[in-house]
Amino acid sequence: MDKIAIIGVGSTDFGDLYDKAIDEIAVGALFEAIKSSGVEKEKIKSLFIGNMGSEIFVKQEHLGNMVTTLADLPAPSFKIEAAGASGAVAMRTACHSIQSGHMDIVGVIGVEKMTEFTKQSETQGALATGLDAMWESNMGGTLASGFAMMAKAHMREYNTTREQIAQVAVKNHQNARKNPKSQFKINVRVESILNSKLIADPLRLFDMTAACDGGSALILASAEVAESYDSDPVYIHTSKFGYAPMQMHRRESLTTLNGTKFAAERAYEKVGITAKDIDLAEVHDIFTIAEILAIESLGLVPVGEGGKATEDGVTALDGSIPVNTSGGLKGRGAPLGATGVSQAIEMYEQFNNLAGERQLKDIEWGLTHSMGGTGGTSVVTIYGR
Amino acid sequence: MGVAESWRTNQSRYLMEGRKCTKCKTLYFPIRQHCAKCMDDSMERYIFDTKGKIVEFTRIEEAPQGFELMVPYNYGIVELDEGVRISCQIIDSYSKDLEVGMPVEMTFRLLRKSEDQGILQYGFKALPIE
Repeated sequence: MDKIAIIGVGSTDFGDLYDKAIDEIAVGALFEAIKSSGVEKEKIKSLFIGNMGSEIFVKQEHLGNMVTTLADLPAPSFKIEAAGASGAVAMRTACHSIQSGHMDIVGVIGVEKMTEFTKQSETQGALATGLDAMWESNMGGTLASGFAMMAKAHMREYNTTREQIAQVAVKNHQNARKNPKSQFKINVRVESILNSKLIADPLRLFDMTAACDGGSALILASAEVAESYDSDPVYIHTSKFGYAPMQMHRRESLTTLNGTKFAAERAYEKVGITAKDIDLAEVHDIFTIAEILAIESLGLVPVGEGGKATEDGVTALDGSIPVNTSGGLKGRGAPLGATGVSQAIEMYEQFNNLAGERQLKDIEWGLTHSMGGTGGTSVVTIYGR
Repeated sequence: MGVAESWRTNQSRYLMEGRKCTKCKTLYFPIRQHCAKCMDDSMERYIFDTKGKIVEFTRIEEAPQGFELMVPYNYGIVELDEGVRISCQIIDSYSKDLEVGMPVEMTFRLLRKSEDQGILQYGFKALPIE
């Protein structure tokens, strides 16, 4: 694929944004992205909006029209949904619109408004809509129970310890403290994670992400157009899609994310690199265990060694392959539809030396990994100059 | 779950009824109209055996709507003797006594009351047998 330039980024804070409606969150991120790009608003040919659950969380559909109305931007706009991967799929689809030759500058927004509920069971129920409603959720299953079974299988198969899994949260919260837009700028200790409320054995409250509001936006452009706005843009070199069966019980493996593995292999092949060439990665740590499975399935660490690698600091900010330098979904926050887009913003900031205290040095290739549900949808994207 | 959906799925939930493709003989649970391999609708009724084994399980302590009063409950993946897998609750057992590979039998139980239309949703749950 022809590479696509990221010429502007914008993001709201992630957290409890009680004073902002979903369209205000989306437009706040969009306007910041437009301003950072230097593009005139009217030049944006289309808006691709990644959102998982506006109908469930805030009883609002027709989100594309709602956002363009508030933005006063009479461009084609629509919502793209793939559960937690909604933002990444929207970004990928936006790239295709440019590659088709029909558009030269487009906007991508990822947005979610999750904090209107007053009961935990309502949030659990909304998250469970990314599963098979009849044959998983209706049988008593939850998003947490899916990842809990992956954790149990991984612990049994590879002797991964509960402490190693908890270390994912410790690390990501440490990184989140260095990100001004994070939801949780707190230090957590392994002991406090292991003593937090049990959600689905062995996963506990601090293994999870929390309900969160937030929006992230990108302005994407073709290489030719980009050069008039940015002399040295960060490029999306490829974005690949990976499939796995929606229902956990139909998966061949509970310890490998086969959709992620497929997408990653295709992405490396397309760019002509291997996992060893990746200098930083943002992965879909919707639960702690998900990061361990992701780094193994992406080939960043050997299969079965994700827990140990995390414990040994391999994925820490000063490790050999820093993972979730932004704080990840765990620390930065997980407004579901926004997560795939905010990962791209971390790439933009790291490549452009805008990442402040979490800035890495000498990076050539970056990777983002987004998932829907328990891994039925995976999107792997590779960034570079 | 709505009225039509309940009616549409009750044979699978009540009887463990699935489908067998008359051409390639692939077994499916739940009932479906077309074979994914042949893309053909020449499917015949197949009632699954109620026996299987636990593939993986967890104890759920934070439940979605309609399941709150059951917590904590065990939930997992069961492989039926025919090789087809399903997800369901695992009942009448403490999680400390459950093991991967443990034989189970599917039993007919109340799943939950649907929050919108008040339908009592029945279906299967796995009961460990020894």
